[in-house]
Amino acid sequence: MNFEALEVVGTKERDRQAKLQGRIFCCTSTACMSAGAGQVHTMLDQAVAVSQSDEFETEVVKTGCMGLCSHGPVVRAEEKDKAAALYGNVNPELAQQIVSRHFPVEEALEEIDSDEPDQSVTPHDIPHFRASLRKAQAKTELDKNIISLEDPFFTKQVRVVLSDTGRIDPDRLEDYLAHGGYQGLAKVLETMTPEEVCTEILESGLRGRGGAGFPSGIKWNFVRQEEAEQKFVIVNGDEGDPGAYMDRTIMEADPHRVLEGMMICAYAVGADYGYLYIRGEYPMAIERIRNAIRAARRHGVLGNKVLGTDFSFKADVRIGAGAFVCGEETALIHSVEGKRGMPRIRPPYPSKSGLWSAPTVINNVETMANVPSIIQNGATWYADIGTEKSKGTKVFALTGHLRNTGLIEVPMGITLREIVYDIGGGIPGDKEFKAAQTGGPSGGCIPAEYLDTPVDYESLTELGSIMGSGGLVIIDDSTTMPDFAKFFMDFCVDESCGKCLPCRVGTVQISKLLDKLISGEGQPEDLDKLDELCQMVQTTSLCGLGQSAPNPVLSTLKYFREEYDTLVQSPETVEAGVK
Amino acid sequence: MTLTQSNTIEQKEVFLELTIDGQTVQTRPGSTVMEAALANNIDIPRLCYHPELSVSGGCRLCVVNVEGYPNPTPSCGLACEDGMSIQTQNEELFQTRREIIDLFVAEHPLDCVTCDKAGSCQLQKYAYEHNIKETSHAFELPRTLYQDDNPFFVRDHQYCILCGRCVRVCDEVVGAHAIDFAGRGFECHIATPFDGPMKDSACVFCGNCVQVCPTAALNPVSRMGKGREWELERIKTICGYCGVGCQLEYALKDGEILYAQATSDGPVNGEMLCTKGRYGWDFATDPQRLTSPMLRRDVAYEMGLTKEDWTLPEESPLKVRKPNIEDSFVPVDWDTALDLVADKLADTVKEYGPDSVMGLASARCTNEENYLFQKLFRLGIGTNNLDHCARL
Amino acid sequence: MTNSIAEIRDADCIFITGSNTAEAHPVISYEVIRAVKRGANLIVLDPRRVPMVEHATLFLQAKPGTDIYVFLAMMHVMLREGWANEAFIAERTEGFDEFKGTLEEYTPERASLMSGVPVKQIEAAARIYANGERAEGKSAYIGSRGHSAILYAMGITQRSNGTDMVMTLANLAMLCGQVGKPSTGVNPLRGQSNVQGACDTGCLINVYPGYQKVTDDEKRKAIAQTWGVDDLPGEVGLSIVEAMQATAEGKVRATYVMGENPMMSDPNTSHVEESLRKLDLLVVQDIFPSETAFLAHVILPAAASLEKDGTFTNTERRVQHIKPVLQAPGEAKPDWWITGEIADRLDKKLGVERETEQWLFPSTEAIFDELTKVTPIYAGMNHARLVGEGLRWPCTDEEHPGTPILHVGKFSRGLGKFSPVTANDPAEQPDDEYPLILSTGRVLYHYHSGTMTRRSGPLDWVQPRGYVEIHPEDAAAIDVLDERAVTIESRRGSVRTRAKISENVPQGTIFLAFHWREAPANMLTQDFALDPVSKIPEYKVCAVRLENPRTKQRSPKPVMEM
Repeated sequence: MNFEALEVVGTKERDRQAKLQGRIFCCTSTACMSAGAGQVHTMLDQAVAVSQSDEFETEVVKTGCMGLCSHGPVVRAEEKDKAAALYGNVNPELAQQIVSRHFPVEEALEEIDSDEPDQSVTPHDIPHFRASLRKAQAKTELDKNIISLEDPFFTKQVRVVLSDTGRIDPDRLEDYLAHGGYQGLAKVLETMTPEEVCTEILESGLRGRGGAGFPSGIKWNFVRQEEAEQKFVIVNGDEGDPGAYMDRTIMEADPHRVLEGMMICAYAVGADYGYLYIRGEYPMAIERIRNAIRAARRHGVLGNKVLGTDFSFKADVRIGAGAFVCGEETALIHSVEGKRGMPRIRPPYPSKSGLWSAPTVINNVETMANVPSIIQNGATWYADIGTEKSKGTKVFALTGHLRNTGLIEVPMGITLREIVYDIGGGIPGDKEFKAAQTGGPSGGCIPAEYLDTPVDYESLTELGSIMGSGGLVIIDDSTTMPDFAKFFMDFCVDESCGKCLPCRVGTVQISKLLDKLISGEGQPEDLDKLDELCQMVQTTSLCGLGQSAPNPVLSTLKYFREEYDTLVQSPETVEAGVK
Repeated sequence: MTLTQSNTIEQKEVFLELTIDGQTVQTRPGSTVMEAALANNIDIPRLCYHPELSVSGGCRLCVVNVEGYPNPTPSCGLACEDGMSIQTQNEELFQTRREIIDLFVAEHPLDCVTCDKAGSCQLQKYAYEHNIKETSHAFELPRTLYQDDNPFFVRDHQYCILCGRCVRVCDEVVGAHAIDFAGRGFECHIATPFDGPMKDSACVFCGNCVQVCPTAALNPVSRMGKGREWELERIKTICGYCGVGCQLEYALKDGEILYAQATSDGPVNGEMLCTKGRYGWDFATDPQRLTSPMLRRDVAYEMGLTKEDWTLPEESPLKVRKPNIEDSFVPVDWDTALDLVADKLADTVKEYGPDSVMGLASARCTNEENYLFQKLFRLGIGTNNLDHCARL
Repeated sequence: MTNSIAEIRDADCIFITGSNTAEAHPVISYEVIRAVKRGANLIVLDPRRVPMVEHATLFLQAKPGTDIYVFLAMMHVMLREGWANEAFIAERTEGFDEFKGTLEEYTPERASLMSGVPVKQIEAAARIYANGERAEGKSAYIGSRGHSAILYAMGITQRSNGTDMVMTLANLAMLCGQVGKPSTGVNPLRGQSNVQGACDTGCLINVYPGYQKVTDDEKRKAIAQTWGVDDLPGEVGLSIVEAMQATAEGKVRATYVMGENPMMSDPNTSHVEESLRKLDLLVVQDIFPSETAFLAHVILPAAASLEKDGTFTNTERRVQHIKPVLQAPGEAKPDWWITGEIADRLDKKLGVERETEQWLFPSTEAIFDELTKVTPIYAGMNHARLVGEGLRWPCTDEEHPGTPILHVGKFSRGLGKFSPVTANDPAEQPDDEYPLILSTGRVLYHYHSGTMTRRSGPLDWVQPRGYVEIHPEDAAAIDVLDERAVTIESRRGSVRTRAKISENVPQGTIFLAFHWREAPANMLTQDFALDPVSKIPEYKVCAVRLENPRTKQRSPKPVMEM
């Protein structure tokens, strides 16, 4: 398939969608599926099948995440030329009501007596089902499930990576094309040299979204300049931070975007083979990426002579076996090579000697997903979003003690306060905000006094935390910080690979010290020892896991020292929950 | 004669110059700071680094200060750059290393008083140099397996510091890859597949893992409990098995070999040996060794040395299950034996000519011995009927 | 070896043929592994799936005795594709034009038919070897061609056409110019600690020390003078196998064996035993009562290499000093002392007037000093110079640093000579009666006739019993199960051992190591066809059949292959 044919497919799909009188989008991401979206989707599908007619064509689209995971399953109904309506906590019964409200069934062929909605319908019972739907039309329980799209949760967000998320069917390449998909790839293949692509990315200010924030343009340029017969692109989808699911959502909701970003990268650096390394706990993401690869290959977007040009690219999925450390790039490379996932000393960086010793770009899923938009809209457009040093947007998995939890995308530089109180809707109950934990087990806790800090790489690092991959846990005042720190430290103890001493033994000793303190047996000097040990592990560990493992302890020691002091002085008071 | 292009080896000698502890050091591009330092007799503490193996960077002991770098950096994986300035010794580094050793001994029992490796244990050496008597942390033993499932070496996991040298030598040099890391974090240990016995793994019992082990985690069975390192006499020689000519060093106590190992100055093999060289020396003290000249009983009878006549059995010696040499031979003194040989050889030469004598020299005897042997045949007897097992 | 062991790790391509390197020369296999880990290509040509195949990029499994066709076809392909090193051939060699013509008939298709190796593999091997192609990574050397090294061992030489085989490998290396520079060359891996030295010092039927031909009057007389006589025997003597024949015929009456065990190591054991029993005098000088010792008239106890002083020369021509580690047990003496004593006493019995200094030396150092006088390639050596790394011959004077690589810039004989070779099949081919091929060799944990390793606790623990490797199909044909007894029969004799069913051997071939006295492989091997030049017996190919001792089933006639 060439560029024109690709556009034809997109246009055709757009035309088809435009002709529809209405569309119902049902979120089928992991969070909503676990809340029952599977049944909701089936019900929607059947109801729409019954209600549509030749003049009134509708369809149900299963999509990826719509963001408000705390309210799942989420369904959005769009009628032609009308504002969309969003419903939360949908069940099959409510699904019937949604369909009948937006796409009313004109006539019932038979009357039914029961008030119970028919939920066990089969195609043979169509008349009966229609009747049930008509009855549902009159019901108004649905109103309390409406979620306002004007809520700050939505209005404060800027969606680049997630722009199509929740709007397209991830399993249909056509849908992605209809939304301008693969136009970025077409653009670079048709009009740009690899060097220009690298420059564009560099100028956009895109930085690695895996956490470290290394400028992607520079990384790509390193690999581009390497002289080698074989180069690789790896997309890191081994998202391991507790509570973080940004990459999972992107892969589930918009897999082609990840592929497109990866291919643009491959073109820019001169690679012809790539791997998507996805953690095994993400079966749906794996399935959707695999479907996407298959569809792209079928359409000539992937494979030899991509879109009729001389550029060839093949992609494959590698599944992680559940090791947190495999998110570290060198450990990930070992894992892809079929070896035990253990980090190795850098340099040489993967850009010089990566997968099977070939120059390799490793970027995280979110980073890659940014790329198509940057290419389509230009570096300046992207650089206009965000702060001076941190450009663009960042996706966060917002969790913890909040009214609204879910997946959000915000411009860099937004304050924590805005995220917590506007987007997150504040702390539920009569509790107070205590701290925000960014960066998962590698990050730190930011206390209330820094709520107005802009969220960008430098500011967070300065506060002793990190941007991380996008886990954002909000803690209210019912949590004691040493316990909180201990949770993350134990995570690191379990996940340390065992290669380097400070991480292997140091984390265990830190955890033991925390145990001692929490059980009330701590001595004042133990706090100094804790601090020393943390710093030692931080400065001497081999990879990022060990270097950042003490962050939760160090940052809580820094901002909540009094809680540790109380432990040493009188443990009873802290156990009682005194702030 | 001029050489063609492809036969010329034009390796351009490019050198980098850097400063290590104030000393200007020249080195090839691609070498690491550790390599450059060691080549210039600058000793950097190290546990997981081994010159024959790939870089691991796990022990963190070899950290050095690099001008312009915020944190101490491990020198084993640090590529030399022109103009680099390195410090390998200072108070800060000493403290960092001290803290690292402190952590090492938080999971390594300090059993030095009874340990076989004491004296050559690298961890002990660095603990001594950094004045660590015991750990300042809470001691906890994560690995307690004791595996003595083979007669070659013992794996005592409590002394393992997970430097991974054994894993690397097994994979990168021997090519067996019989062992690897298993388990995570504190539970991490070196294992055969499914922790099965060594014999069921891909192990070839070359013992190169024992050779490179810096602690007592791997020890030869033959030395266990038999002597302390400083009591041993060491003699370097060449292995008597195949034609590779590996140099090995025997460690002896009271004239008894406790173990064999290779040394880094071995011109052919460096620190590597095979299973026969490293473990196959105990034949030398086998009770079946020949300890005196012997005459076959019929010959001895003829000479009046025994009273009973005897004939060589028809049955092939290969068919006898457990042959006993004393059943067929009687010991005599050297003069008797040598004179008899000389006598009979002289008779044969006189009666049938020099070409009726055949000599089989040995590919396991020394040059001197083979030289003398062929000289005996050519000069003493006068024949070229002289061969050895080169072809077998 | 033309080159050094340490150079192997820098090679771009390593071609191993007829060598079970990982088991017979483990420390050299470590060098190969290191090269492979750095990205070198490893090609293995062997009838058996030897352990090195695990690390190979290309495994050419040729039927026993057919490898010569593959080598010739590789050269055929090289010429056809223009991969030969024209410049090298023009400047450094002679006889190429004549040689070139002989290759025409040896097409890869023919080789494939004979050997079972696919044509594509032959072509790939030719390309990789000729150009020194790497699998990955950068070469240690600059130049348009990578450096390829050939390693071979007894699989090449223990054949009735062994000399042709070695010449073929030399031709192969010269054709590509893969000789005379680091990490290249033709490198025989020699099996025993001082087999190189025993050859260097002239323990061969046709040469005096330093490979000076016995027929060369001038050189022989020079040696004679050093030894204080006018001349020395100038006719080629009898080789081991020939001597056994001569003994059987009563021509050889006395044999003096120093540290050898022909009852285990020589082909056709029954015949060997028959011969040895006929001797008027058999002297066996050894460290253990070997199988041969039981037939001796006199046994002389020798010191083991761990117990004495002297020098060994390794496979890369490095002369190294050995030192006594243990005390010799009882009255055991170093071999040099025993030989000297016998020689001195023999002089007296023969009535020869000669100063005893010719035989009785105060030390091995003194013997070595005399050795260097008559051995030009050792001329520059002495014990003091061997301290540390030793010296590699040729080392022609006291200033000479030794020679790590042979044939640099110029072959020893001047121009390298291409010797045309015709492919000959093994002397004994399988037939209806004996339908299988037996190949003998070694295993990792044992050494030679097993006198030492079978008395080593740890080594014998791993492999205490002998076994024969049999392909599953061949085992199934006679209903033999794994680990069960099986009898191997040849025209010379029969051996009963345990079956190890394994796909490491191709169908139709069995493998038996010669370490086990309970299953002496050489009861089966043939001694009628030797290599005409080197007199090496064909241990690697002889015809046998299997019998199931329980059911008396015998290996069936081979099915005709189409």
